[in-house]
Amino acid sequence: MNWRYVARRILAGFLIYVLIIFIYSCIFNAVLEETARANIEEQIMQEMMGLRNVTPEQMANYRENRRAELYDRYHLNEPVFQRIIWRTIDTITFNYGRATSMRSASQSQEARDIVFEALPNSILLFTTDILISFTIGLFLGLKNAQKPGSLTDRSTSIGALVSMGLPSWWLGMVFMMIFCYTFKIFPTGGIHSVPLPQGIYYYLDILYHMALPLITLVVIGFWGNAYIVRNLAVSALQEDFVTSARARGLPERKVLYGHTLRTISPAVMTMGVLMLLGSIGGNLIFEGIFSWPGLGRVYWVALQQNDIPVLVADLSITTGIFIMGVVFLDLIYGFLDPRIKAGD
Amino acid sequence: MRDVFEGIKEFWKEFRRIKSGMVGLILLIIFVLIVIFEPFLLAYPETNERWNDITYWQDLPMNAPPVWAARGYPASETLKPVDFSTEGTYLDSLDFVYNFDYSAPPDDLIIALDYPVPPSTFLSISIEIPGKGTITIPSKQLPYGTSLRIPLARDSDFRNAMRAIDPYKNQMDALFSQKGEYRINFLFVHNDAEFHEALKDVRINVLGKAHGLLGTDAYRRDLWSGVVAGMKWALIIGVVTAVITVLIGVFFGITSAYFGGWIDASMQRVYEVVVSMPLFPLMIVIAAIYESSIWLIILLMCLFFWAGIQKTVRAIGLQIKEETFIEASEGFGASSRWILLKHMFPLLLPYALAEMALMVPSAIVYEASLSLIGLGDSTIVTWGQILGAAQISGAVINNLWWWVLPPGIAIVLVGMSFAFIGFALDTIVAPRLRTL
Repeated sequence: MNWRYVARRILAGFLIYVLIIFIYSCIFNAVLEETARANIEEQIMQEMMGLRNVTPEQMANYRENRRAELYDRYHLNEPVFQRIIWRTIDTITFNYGRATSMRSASQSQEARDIVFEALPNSILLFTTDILISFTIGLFLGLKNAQKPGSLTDRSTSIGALVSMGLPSWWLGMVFMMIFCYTFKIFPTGGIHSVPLPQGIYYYLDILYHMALPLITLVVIGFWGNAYIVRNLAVSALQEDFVTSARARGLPERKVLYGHTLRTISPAVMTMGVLMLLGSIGGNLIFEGIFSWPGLGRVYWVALQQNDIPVLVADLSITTGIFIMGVVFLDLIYGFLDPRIKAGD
Repeated sequence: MRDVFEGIKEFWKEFRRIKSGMVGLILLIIFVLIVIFEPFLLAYPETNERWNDITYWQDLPMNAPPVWAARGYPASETLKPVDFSTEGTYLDSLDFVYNFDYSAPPDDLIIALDYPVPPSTFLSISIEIPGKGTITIPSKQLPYGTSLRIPLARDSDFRNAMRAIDPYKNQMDALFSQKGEYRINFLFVHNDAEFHEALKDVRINVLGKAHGLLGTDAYRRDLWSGVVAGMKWALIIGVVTAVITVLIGVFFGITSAYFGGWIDASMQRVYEVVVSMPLFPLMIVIAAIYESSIWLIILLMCLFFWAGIQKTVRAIGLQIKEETFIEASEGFGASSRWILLKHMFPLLLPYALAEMALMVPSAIVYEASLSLIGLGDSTIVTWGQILGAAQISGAVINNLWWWVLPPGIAIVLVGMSFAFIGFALDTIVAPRLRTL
């Protein structure tokens, strides 16, 4: 592992992030400026209502001056290209502007606060899911690789194929219908009970709310992992070093978890990170079904309220995490696979 | 030509041995048959054009379960006159018979005729309740110029008449208090010869407590028709996206591999940027800001999905490039376009077919997910939109399983059939690629 490689990879990731934010700025600049202008007009209106003892001419003057001033501050008077550059810089520095109608839990109007508030909840749900699905997939896959063609092996591959076209949110709807409304086992959504429990119960309450979304994600998630691990392990088990390990009289467990797993570990880790990217890519809106207050639900609410700044803020943060995932993937690969050297 | 035929025959022989692949293929054939025979399967022929038009669905019950799941409840049906008699010009009398043998009354009886009512037309209705005598709703003048449509349960005269029988019950409960044969008589008084002819088509739409094969939703739409109409869109979205995407991916990959050098380097940079964008969130924001349409959705998927396969294609392409026949072809002066199209692409075609089939499920799921949050194309019927409507109307809370389950199962089945086919193709193709 070479630190120069790490630094270069992270820098490359950051450059790609900047480039993508620039592309977003090109696509969304027009509509974001529209909301910015509307916000400015509203702000001026508010200020003018506070004015006392002024003539209509002074009013008009005030409006003109104030507008010019604010347009200057938000770079709205500059040529298009420069405005896009400013927009890119603002977005990279997390200055997404004010939300049109959404508020964060702390009543902040900043789009940034709304999105950052949701971020930990998404991370909590999806990393827990990935850890569980990954573990189940790993062990099931290795077990299947020992007996290819067995009943569990074949059902795992069928499960993997079926889960490809199974929308997680639909399974969520079905599970909710069964476990929240028919049999009232789980809460019907959200992350906290009202009133908020104290102490250890606070965390147990979160776990209780997380249970059903988590079960849904795991039920869909582990099949694909098991299938990938199984395919990797089956080919690794045919290698000579496995035969020689067995010939030396090593116990089968050691052959499987020591030799085989070590060989396929780079690819298995890749799978784990790809799962994370998949969650960010497609599973996010799943949160809306369970009213789980994460990034995905912010998309739903922002859409309903047509809050464009929050949408773009959410997209930028999602992209940032996504790219961090991609970079992490490369680094892990380089770390686990000694053949990949710095500069490759 | 003969070689191609032999090749296909051999391929088929191998394919036939993979059970899951055959299951997928049979399912796909069924789906295609559903699309072909769609006009015969739709219970409501204008489903495609008028899915979001509430007036088209107004004569259906709301949130009614499927007929097979609600035995003992009245199903929706249409009553035609059993007897039609005339006196003078004109006093037309029509008789209807409704056999009521259920534990709950139907939601409504709607008197309907698709013919403009002439001025000064009067209608009086009498209903014979078995074992309880006859009730009569006083004669009244019909609004003219529009087609005839009287929902009885919402008619004030009918309500008053029912209140006289049983003031404590809802009017339909009061009317259908007895099981048995209900005889309904309409007496039309008018003076229009053409209307007289048209009158024999008067019908009574019974809005049941159960409806059709898959029930109805909160907007009174027939879900069976919706699910059938969604089939073709699922196939179009899946197949069009998969074919275009894989072709882009394959050509991107082999071009990058064949030319190498700075072309390869810059193409791989483009790939890195594309692969670093989270497609689904990006699609949400683009569809929210610009007007969403099914072709925009397909276009966006095509612009991004190819990244998933180009890396593998490039790796295979780098191998093929080293083969001697490529060198020989170059020696004969073949252009690079010729080599890409005639030598490299055909070798990758089987792999491309497998990837196409495997890409269909995700394309369908992406469209459905966008439609779920209300960003689909509202001019067509897709399963995602049916589920989106279910989500915002609280179908889950109200346990309307016939609204939530069928579209989702349809998505899973179509995805599954393509995944099975793709898996079978991949099983056949993968060893061939390895020995290339």
